[in-house]
Amino acid sequence: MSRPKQFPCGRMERIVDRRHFLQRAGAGAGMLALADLLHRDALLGDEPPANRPALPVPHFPAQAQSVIWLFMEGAPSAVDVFDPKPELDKGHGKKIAIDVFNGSPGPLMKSPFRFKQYGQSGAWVCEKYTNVAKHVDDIAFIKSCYGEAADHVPALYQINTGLARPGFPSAGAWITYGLGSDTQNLPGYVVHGNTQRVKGGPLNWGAGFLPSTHQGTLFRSQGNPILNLERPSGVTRDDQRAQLDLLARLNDEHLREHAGRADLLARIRSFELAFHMQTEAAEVVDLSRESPETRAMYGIDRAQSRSFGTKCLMARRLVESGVRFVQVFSDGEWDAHSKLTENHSTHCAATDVPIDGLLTDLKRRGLWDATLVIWGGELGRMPVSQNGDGRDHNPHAFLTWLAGAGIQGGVSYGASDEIGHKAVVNRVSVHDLHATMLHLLGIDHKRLTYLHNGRSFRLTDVAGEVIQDILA
Amino acid sequence: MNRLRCYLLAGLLASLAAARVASGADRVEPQLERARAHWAFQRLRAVEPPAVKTAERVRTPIDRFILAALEARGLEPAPPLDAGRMIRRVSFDVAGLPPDPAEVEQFCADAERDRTAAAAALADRLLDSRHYGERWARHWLDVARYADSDGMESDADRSHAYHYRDFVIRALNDDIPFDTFVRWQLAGDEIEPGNLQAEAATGFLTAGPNQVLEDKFLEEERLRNRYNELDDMLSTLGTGMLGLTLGCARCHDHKYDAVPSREYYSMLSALHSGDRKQVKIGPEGTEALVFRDFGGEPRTTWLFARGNFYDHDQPVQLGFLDVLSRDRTAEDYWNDARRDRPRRDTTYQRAALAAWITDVDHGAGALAARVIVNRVWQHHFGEGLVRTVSDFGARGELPTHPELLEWLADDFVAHGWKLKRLHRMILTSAVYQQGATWDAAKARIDVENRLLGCRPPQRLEAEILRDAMLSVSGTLNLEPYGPAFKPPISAEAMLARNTKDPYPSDARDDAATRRRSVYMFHKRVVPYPLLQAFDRPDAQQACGRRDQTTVAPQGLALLNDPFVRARSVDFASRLLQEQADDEQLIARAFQFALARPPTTAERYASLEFLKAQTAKRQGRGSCPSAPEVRLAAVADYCQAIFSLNEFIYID
Repeated sequence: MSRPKQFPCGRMERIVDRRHFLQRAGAGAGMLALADLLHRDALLGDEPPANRPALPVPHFPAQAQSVIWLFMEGAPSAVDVFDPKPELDKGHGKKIAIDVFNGSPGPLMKSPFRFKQYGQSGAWVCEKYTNVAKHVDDIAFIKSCYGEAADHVPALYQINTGLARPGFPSAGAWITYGLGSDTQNLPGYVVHGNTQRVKGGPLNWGAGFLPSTHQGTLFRSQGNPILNLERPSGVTRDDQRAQLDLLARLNDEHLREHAGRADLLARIRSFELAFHMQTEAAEVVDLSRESPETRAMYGIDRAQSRSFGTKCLMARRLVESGVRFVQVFSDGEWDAHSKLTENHSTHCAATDVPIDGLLTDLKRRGLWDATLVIWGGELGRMPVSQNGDGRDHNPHAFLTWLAGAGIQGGVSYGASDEIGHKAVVNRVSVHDLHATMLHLLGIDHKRLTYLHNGRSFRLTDVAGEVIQDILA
Repeated sequence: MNRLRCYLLAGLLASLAAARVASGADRVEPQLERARAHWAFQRLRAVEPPAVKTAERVRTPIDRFILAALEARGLEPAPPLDAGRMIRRVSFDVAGLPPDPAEVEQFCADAERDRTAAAAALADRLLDSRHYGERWARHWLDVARYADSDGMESDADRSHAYHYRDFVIRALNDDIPFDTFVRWQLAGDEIEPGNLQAEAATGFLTAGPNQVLEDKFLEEERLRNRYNELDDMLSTLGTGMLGLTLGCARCHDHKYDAVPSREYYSMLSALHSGDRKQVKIGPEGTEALVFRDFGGEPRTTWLFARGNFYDHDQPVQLGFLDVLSRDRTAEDYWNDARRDRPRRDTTYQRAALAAWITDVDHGAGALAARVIVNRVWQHHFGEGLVRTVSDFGARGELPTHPELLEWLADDFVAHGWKLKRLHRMILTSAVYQQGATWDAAKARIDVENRLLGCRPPQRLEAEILRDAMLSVSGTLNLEPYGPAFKPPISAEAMLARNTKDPYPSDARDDAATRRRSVYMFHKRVVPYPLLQAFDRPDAQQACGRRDQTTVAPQGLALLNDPFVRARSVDFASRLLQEQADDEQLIARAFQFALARPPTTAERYASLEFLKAQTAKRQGRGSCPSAPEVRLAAVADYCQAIFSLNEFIYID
């Protein structure tokens, strides 16, 4: 097999292609974005498949075509959900020397929940996650993740961008930059926010210094999914069609005078794209055509899980439509500084059935082998109590699980210490997680680079090891 | 901890590092000499503008450099832009607003008589208008990553930050020398205590995002936060003022970091003795967010090996970049700064840094001059002479016209660092006044227009697009300065939650929120959707060159954003108040929006549209009155005008 020919470095080829195109077009700034736009536009259907511009080729065959990241905002506690610690039961109430984010640490606190083992793999799952528990043999648990920052926003920025500081490109932006997407009328990177609105805001799904085309687009789960999808009152589709037709006529002369400036042509097409997006985006979030059985499977029929279930079902529909990267934020925060029992019970109830539904649905629709599903938050929680019945933030150990495309199920990787305070065995950094994510998508994390301010940047900075032991 | 920010200060400092490690002293090593040989690190030198074959084309000395390069490739400049488009170009470029029809008429008449004199008078008039400062302040505020809130989790409002924004606008309008402009931003409180503008200027240092952590929080977290903030300040002044990515040297894992790290922390020590603070400034005790030292005693700064901020093994002294320094030490600058300045509540380290950074003979002044001249050029032409405007290091691009850049920088410094003089020279040059028309033959030879054989159209920036819609619709509120206004943001567009000062849900679209965009409240985690769609930077890091994307959400914004529709209705009302007749209405719309009359084809298309829209809207069931139908149909038309390429891209 002539590997280099068959699987050339997609990034390089893409850049060369684009340069070539842009040289011919001779356009000014914003050219990558423009190339993307035209490229997407070309996919709209006029041309036969053979004449389509080549999508950037992955570095090696990809396992996953798309990613659904179930993001548990606020930091779920590993020792209370998937990683029980007998030593916590034994030491319950004992004071230990420990530094915690908010100061005044309490004594060790055992989990309020009962645990059972499930599946062939015998994975432990708490009593609040019995539906997720059905899938443990398809899940790889990583029990030794750690981050740098002890507070939500920097930790959110780190898990999303690799850096605990604002303003760098998110993983989803890197991935759509590297791979493009298979949809023309939808954004390649969609974010389902949550009811309380995500801490740290759009920088969590920002494009940083990458062309801003690659930033995540926030979808809402009710009403119109994208901003500005709704027409002004009194303006109909027909009116807008007439406006665009007028625009085409009035632009004509200007365009002839500025022939060769591709950005002007792209601007005109962007209006057409916007016009069509109004219909298509509305269709993709219209769940009325889904059967009651499917809706129930995602927990949409129950108040406690309706919101998250709706977002999970939309995530499946988006991935089906060719969206590359979907991030689904859970509602409310797992940020149990007090009343952990109540907090985690509520959040488990909100997500348990929907996650079961999503995983089941992906399997029955044949999307399982092409979709990487990730579950996790931005931090972990402390083994000691806070305010009597809560836990403070813990950047030293948290749990993330992966399932679906390219993932070996029933695996438990790495470990935190006996009380769950620090990751100690096979420690996994955020860069390692990102490297693994990219690997599954066919991207060598060391070769997906972008030149900015004189330096080649990567999602994984100068670090990152693919976690081989969880790969299928 | 922060390896991604370890951009190399080029291979230069790498070799410099090796040199210093080897010598351990101030002896000059060959590597240091080689690093110093980099073009951007030279002293300024006088350059003679070259001779050209077509001297009749020369308007200002700039033209000689451009023409000589074009002639060498056998290329001709583009013919001059016609007068109507010219005034539109200059008005947007200098004032960020469209010319009104009377101004267009006047200028065209003047240009008919004497084009050169008319162009000079136009440049003078616009540079003297207050709108010049409002327009050009925005460029510098991008560099200063200015916003009106903290960012991060709390994103608390900074209600008193705007004094810095006002300082920038006033400084530009007053044409204070750029070296003073720079010095005040680093140390105005030390240099001119009691001067409101000078003290407000240090808002440059404090403008970045910031997380306020209470004392009860983990010490490690607070320290990390503190050094992230200091790094933000140092990195911003590095890229903004010197075109160097200093953030590199905070690196802990790079084989070359030994000396760059020391220099990084030496420079950091200028900032290490102070922090952002809300204080009363100026004679009237105006509340403002500024930078202040903690006291007169400098705090010890340590070289944090491997970025470890618990590492207190190696104290460092105040110092600057050796590669840019000649014959004077930081100690010399510091002694000068303290001389005759008796105050005990500040260390004067920043004053020393400010003196070094603007010292063309012994410090970084030559580089600072090249960087700002290049930024100005970029905003007039779309690209800098050095296209990597914030990277003048070895990894940056070389200038397309090195001699011109040198001449401009030298002339700039020799004439007192005056920006208006530089603008005037550019605005009245032949190269600036060229047409924007595409020329395929030329493009084959000079695909990226590096020789400037035409002056390509520029897309309006987000803020200017908004201002233009307000202006054309006749609803722009020109109230200057003062607290920022908060425009309405629909609930569905609020993407983030912040824990302090939530964005108001009841903001209204009224006169108070129809001010120029430079006065808009920029809440870091709640971006204003229309501006965000059109690539306004996020104010997290210095931005010297904005993205210019062309994406579908921009189309959606122009079709559906409530602001855009409301201005379309306003524009329609304005036209309908003046004109009853469709033909005249269309002519007037073109004059307001495009500064020219419509062609026959355009008039015909417009007439057809208005007729069809009116009929269509009349036929709808809800039976609105005839004036309502007409207003809506004309608004549909006006909205299409706002979406025209010619409206968005200025020739």
